[in-house]
Amino acid sequence: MELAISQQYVDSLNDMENTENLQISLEKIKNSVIGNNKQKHNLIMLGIIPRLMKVLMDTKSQYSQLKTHSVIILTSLAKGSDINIKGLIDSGVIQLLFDGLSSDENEELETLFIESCLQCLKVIFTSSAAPIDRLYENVLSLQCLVRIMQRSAVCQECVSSIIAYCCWSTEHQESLSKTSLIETLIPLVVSPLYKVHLPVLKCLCALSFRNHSNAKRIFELTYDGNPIADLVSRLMDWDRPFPCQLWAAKCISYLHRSNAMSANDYLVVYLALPTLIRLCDKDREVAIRVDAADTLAYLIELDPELQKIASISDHSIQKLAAYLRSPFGSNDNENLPKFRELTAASELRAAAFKAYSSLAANDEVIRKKILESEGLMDHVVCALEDSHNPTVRLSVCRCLLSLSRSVRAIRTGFHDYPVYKQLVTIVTENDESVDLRCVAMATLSNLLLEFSPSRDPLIEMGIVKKLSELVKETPKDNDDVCLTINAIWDLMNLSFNADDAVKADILECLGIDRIKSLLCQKDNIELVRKVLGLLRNCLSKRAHIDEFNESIIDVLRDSLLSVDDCDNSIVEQVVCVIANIADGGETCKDKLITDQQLMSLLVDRLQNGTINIQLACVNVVLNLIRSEELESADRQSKLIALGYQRVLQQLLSCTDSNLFSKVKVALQHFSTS
Amino acid sequence: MPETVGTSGINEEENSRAEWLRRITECEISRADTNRLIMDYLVTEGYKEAAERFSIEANVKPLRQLETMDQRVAIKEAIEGGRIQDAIALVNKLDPMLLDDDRQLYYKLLQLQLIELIRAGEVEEALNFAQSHLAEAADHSPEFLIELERSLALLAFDDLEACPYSDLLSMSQRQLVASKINASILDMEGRPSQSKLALLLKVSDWSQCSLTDGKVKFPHMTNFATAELENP
Repeated sequence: MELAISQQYVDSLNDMENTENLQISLEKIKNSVIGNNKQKHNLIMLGIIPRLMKVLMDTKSQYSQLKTHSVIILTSLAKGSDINIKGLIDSGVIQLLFDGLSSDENEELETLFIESCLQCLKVIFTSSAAPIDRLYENVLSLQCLVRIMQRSAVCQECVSSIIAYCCWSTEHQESLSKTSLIETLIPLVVSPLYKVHLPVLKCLCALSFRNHSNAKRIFELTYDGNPIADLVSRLMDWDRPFPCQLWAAKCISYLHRSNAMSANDYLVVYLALPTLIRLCDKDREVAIRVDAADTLAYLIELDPELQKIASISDHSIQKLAAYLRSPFGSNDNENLPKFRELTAASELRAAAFKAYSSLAANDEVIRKKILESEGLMDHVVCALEDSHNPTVRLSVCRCLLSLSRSVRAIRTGFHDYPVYKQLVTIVTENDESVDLRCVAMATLSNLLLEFSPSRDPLIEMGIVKKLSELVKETPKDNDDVCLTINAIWDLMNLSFNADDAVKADILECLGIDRIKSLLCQKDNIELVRKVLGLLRNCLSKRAHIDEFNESIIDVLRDSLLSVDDCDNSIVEQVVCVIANIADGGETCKDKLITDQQLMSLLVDRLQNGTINIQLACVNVVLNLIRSEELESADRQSKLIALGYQRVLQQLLSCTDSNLFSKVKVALQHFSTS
Repeated sequence: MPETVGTSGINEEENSRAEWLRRITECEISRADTNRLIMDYLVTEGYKEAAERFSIEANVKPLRQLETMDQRVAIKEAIEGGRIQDAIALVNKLDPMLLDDDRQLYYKLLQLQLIELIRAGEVEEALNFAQSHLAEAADHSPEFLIELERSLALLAFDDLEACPYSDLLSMSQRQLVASKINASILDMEGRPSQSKLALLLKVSDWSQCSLTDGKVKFPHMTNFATAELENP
């Protein structure tokens, strides 16, 4: 019977001539669909969308109530589900609505019709099925929306909401900045209507996020003689609704992070920062707490002063600790269903760890305070083991990375709670995201340092083999490069001052072919730098050097030939490795000394390089010509012939005391030949 | 905070209460402010005629235009008169998004409609209505399922007043829903959804709780309707 009635409704729209009956039918349909998802579904199945679109297109009266009612019904259908929205999009409703808004007679269109169209567009463009790119296909659509904002508060609210939701990328920001959107939004910040100034704040945030040009433009604008940042800051007053305070604080945070406002600006330090911490109170609802902590983490991420201020403001560390303890938002009024409780708990944990990771990034005192939070490491271990929550795992790894910059933490907290086990599990799990694995490896790199109590257990776990397996001989894409660099970094830290057995193990696991291949990755200077650092640490004993040197020398020569003159760090690393090789057996030394091209390159660097490069070159010379060695005299004469002695004598006039004393020692070896 | 008088033979508790009353009496609240509070209450709650008369008698202009009250008054009257379908149509005319956005409110209206059908003895229609309009909502909301069950329980009783859930039939149920709709409409218009008087009552209650939490002794107002003070 319901379907029969629904069919009647749909059929009643066929008679387009009888506007009075049409009006009654539309009224009945409207009242039957509003609030009733089943009815919406029935009518869509029976083909109401094309009928309504026909009414929109064919109605003779340009400004009639019929068109408005049709749009209202379409809006109500859209509110049923994302499937309904997809149906509307596929039917071409969006274009029809934009055509209606951008008609030449726009000025005369009734405000109610325009508002209805915008409400419909808002429902569509703020859904998960939103065809966002569609909005940016035609710049006229954007300009039309911006122009229409002048009409009424409803228009302002709808357009701001659409744009705030649909501005995701730099390209979107650029397209919007070409319209007069920013100038149109500014006066709306002081709108007395909450439902206007909230989406306006969201819009300003979307426009200024990681966009210096937009942020600067927003910051420099004024309204009624007041800078915009001041007007935004008033929306952080305590009597404002919490979402308003949050988005106002977010706006100031984004303006700062986009370098439009300095970190010591009053509005950042004394308003945005305390507001965000205040919104972390346990009495706030979960969504507010999560967003506030995330924004706080972003605000203070790069500035040590802000981190210090945040750490001593309003018990921030204890407030964030409460995120980890509560199973869900402790605001009892929320009354969340069970699945939502679990999601809320995860979101809170992820946000807390993210905020901690920013707080602990630089300051030892802050790290200590965080580590002393009751039960923190228990929560950390739980989060690391929670393989169903990748977001939480990523946040906790970032937090550990910050905390692991503390020597004290490595020796105590990380020793009492062997988090290295979970980190290794994450690193070796191929199904995990590359981001997560790289952050875990970065944390491991600190745990592998020589003073770390976790180092030996990691070695026993076979960390060398596990890390070596992650090193790709020829990294194909960014993911491979990321994993390889981090693995090499870990091995580099492990090999520093390590036992001979560990160094030998590293070189054996990696293999000479793989090392040579990595040193040839000219497009990836950072990778080459790390591999050279690893070699420098590993090739410190003759046994290793003799095994590897012959093959490596060719690659090192090629690196010196091809490296950009500006990249002194690479040159320095290469020469240091050569210096280590020069300390090897006779075959190493012979191989080096007979390589005319390499030795010419080195004497040039000795003459023209930076102090560090010159020091490394002198070490090469010293290792080749130590006068107690048998073939030393022969090598010395070859070096003299290449001009080394002459250049060293020139360097006696250098101002660096360290270089001077080394040059003097080297010249003494020459003179004892 | 009431001051403790010295040991002059006077009962400290009585003195404290007297002191409290004396301080209340000494607070000067202008007639103009009182009138504005009353006018705000009348306009917010939708008492248009009373507001118009009060405006003339007390010579106080309403802060908002009275003509926008007409729709709210019509909706309120339709709900209180049991004409729920009319009320829904009026709400949809005023704001077509309201009931789509606030499904709880919509279902409250449908529940009232169901109750009216039951009150009128139209059992079959009531069951059909429950099945076609309310069952779907109950599937997704345990809270509404409970309400639906309470409403349908009325059908089991010949004498509806004998049902344990007979409170659903009372005028206060309709007034509650009417008040929520009124608040939603005001919210939609960007106006405060509560009168300042209602807010003042809440602030008074909060203040008393805060003082109690701070272990301050003072005469509590336990009955706001009569403004009676109890001893500290």
